[in-house]
Amino acid sequence: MPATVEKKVPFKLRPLKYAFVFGLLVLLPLSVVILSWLQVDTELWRHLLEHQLGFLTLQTVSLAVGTLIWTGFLGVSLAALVAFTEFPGRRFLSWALLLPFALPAYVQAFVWVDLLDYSGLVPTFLRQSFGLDLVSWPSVRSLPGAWWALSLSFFIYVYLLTLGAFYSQGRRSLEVARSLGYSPWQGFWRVSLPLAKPWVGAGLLLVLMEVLSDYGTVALLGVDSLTVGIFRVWYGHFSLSTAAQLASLLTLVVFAIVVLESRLRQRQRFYEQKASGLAGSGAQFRSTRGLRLAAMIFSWTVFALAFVLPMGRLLWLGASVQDYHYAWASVFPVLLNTLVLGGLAAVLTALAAFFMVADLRLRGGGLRSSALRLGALGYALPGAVLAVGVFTPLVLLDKQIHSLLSGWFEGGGGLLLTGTLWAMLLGYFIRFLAIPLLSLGSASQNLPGRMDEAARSLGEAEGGLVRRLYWPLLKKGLLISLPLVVVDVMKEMPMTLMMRPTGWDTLSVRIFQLTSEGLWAEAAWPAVILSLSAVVPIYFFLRPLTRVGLRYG
Amino acid sequence: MLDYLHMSSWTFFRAVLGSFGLWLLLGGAVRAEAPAASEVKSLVIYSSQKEHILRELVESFSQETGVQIRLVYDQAGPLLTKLRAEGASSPADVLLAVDVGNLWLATQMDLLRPIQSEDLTSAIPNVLRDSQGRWFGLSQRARTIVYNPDQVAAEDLGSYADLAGAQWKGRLCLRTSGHVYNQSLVAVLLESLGEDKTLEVLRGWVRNLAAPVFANDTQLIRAVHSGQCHVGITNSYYLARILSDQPDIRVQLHWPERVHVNVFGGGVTRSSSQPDLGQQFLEWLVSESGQKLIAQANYEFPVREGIEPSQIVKSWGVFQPMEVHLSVAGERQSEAVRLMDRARYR
Repeated sequence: MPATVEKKVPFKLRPLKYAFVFGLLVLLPLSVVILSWLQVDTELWRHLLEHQLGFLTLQTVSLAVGTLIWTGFLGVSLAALVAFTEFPGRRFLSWALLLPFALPAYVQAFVWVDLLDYSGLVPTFLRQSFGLDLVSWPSVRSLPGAWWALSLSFFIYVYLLTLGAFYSQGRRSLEVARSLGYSPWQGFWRVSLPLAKPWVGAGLLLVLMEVLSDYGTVALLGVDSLTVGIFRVWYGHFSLSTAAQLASLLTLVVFAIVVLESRLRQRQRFYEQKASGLAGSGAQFRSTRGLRLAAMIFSWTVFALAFVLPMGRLLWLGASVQDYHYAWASVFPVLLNTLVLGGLAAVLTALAAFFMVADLRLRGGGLRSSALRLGALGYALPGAVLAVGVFTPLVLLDKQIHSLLSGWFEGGGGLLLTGTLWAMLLGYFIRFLAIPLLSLGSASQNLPGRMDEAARSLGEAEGGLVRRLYWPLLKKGLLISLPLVVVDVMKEMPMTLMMRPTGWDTLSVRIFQLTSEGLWAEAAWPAVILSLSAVVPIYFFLRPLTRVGLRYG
Repeated sequence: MLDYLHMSSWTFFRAVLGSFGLWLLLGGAVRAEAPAASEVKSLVIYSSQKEHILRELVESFSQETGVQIRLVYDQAGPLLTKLRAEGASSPADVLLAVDVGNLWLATQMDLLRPIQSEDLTSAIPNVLRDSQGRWFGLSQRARTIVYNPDQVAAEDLGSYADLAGAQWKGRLCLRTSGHVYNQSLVAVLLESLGEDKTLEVLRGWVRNLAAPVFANDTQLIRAVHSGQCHVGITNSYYLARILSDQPDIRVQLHWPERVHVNVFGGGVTRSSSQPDLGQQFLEWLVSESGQKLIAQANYEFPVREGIEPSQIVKSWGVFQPMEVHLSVAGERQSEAVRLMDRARYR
């Protein structure tokens, strides 16, 4: 690139070239996990290899594959229906389909066990009313049960990112495909879906990371994934280091998948650029009556199964509780705190991801692209392992500061960093940076590099590129990540427990404490409140997105 | 309105960031103020027992003594890691845990200090506390056998090991072996039966399973009630909780000849700058009033003699605990988990 362009960089954008540091923050917990290899318990490893790992790996792979197929199917089909067809309730569902996301996945799983397990509502009803004893019914506490429950919780990632892709294509691509003689169906398969591939891929990656790091849901459904194995080693054999070693292997696999996925995408670039050349303006696309009916039934069914039914069951359970004290105690300040912290985490991760992506486009290079991929790994570690990984170095630093300060004045003022909201925010940042990184990464992938060249040749400096080219074009990718991060923070538990200031409380912590004692009825209210309050960020952040889609599409 | 995309985006994000930042700073300031403003003595408790169970206990201690209590809840594994990482700078004065394995682990990590207290040693039986005074059992939790009276005659039931017998094929329900209660149970069985016999028992249990292992005791009790399984192993207080809600549930409790007992217990941390206050809290918990509250709070069995348990618990009569020292549950836990792995007890 010509040196003259470099000189035009306005001073205040200089820091941008260090944006990759955000991605390297994840090295903090990763280094803890990797350092665990300094001490290897060979005897325990031999035992694990012989009796555990084979089975755990098999279960994990089946769990991941099944869930990815289901979430892919649900997410893409719902996004397509919402984006391309018209049916009663479409506008409402376009954002309401995100609501199930606010229900912690293990609560979703509980509801299905509560309904369908042998001692659950439906089989009990059948037994008592019709004498139907369904002993041989397949148990919901099984792999297929886990696919079902996890998919209903996590299809949102695929749905939202794919919807974002469809909106940014606009309806025109479909219409053009039609003008070229394709049926709407063919147009969807040959034009819209291929264009959305990077987004679908990013959504599936997020689902994969969620599934691999999930503990509560799979434990409830009796699936022994690697994460269950990790906790078995940590809590059962009291070996945090071996648990961390297992976690590092898991992370390595995820890293490999992240790299592989972006390689695959790069190979497809040419095709996508050609395809985006198809976009033009055209006439309105109309859906047939049959399609409309099918779309309506399908979308509303998913919404009912994933949200209305679990919420109904929780409300019903909650209604039977007499002592609301713990559930309600200062629930609104707690909620407000969580929302604000979630909003802050969302904005910070989104901005950091934007700068990282912009920086990579401007300067390129191995360091920057690896930072982008590394940055996503915080999401793949089991929550409690990540929490320990963030906390340990932080407290070490804290102790250093403490001993430094106590040299200056007596007492030294205790630990300054740990137990503050700032430390908690750092934890959230490391955990959730993956969401905007992946969604922005796919948005950026669809912008041909020629665009940057053209802008530069027209005399745009770096600052101009970032403000007048990247920002408007990547804005939608950013918007998509915001509600996801807010709601994820609201649901987050292990990091919150580890990093929170004394007395800080969140709804998800309450839900967990009650449910882990089997007090589901008592936990129902906090769960309902958590889900309903998620309406605020979802509505607030997603409305503009859908409007952008229609306006600029 | 929601039309913020039309505002200059930079202005918008600057405004949002600014207001969030202000809020955080205020929050930070409030937090920094709080402890300094109060001259009251305060005690920081790290606890893996849930807040809603401890709440009443802690409140009445505060009322009686004027000591302010700050509870920090986390799961035992992360909590101990946190305590160790904080080291001498930890704010924690007292550690409470719901399984002896975790208390034992805390002593292995040298997180608890030995304390000498006549009140504690006289109230708590030997096997329920550390020989060096680093942890003390505060209430007993019995892990026992439950059965559906429609399908099982009480006299057919025996010990935990008997559940491995062929007559229970397709009738037994178990909670996952990933949970510490079962790991402790198997550890003490290992101590009394030896490795070969224990492995045999575990294999028998697995052969007899009527359903995939359950994630928690409550689910298991419901499965016994529904007839899916005829017999299962659970902590007694889970049954008591359900009975207090649904007295007519078809589940009854059986005491094996020797019952495995675990504890909810605690100790004073090495890091505490006010160990006397921590000790005072523990002593209060085993005092008569403390023990009564504990007995009511979660349907557990008091460690102090002569304290009435709650009504439901009393109806089950008395049991004979195993005479194994509880720290065995911690010492042999890893071994126990290995045996369960070998028996394919998931």
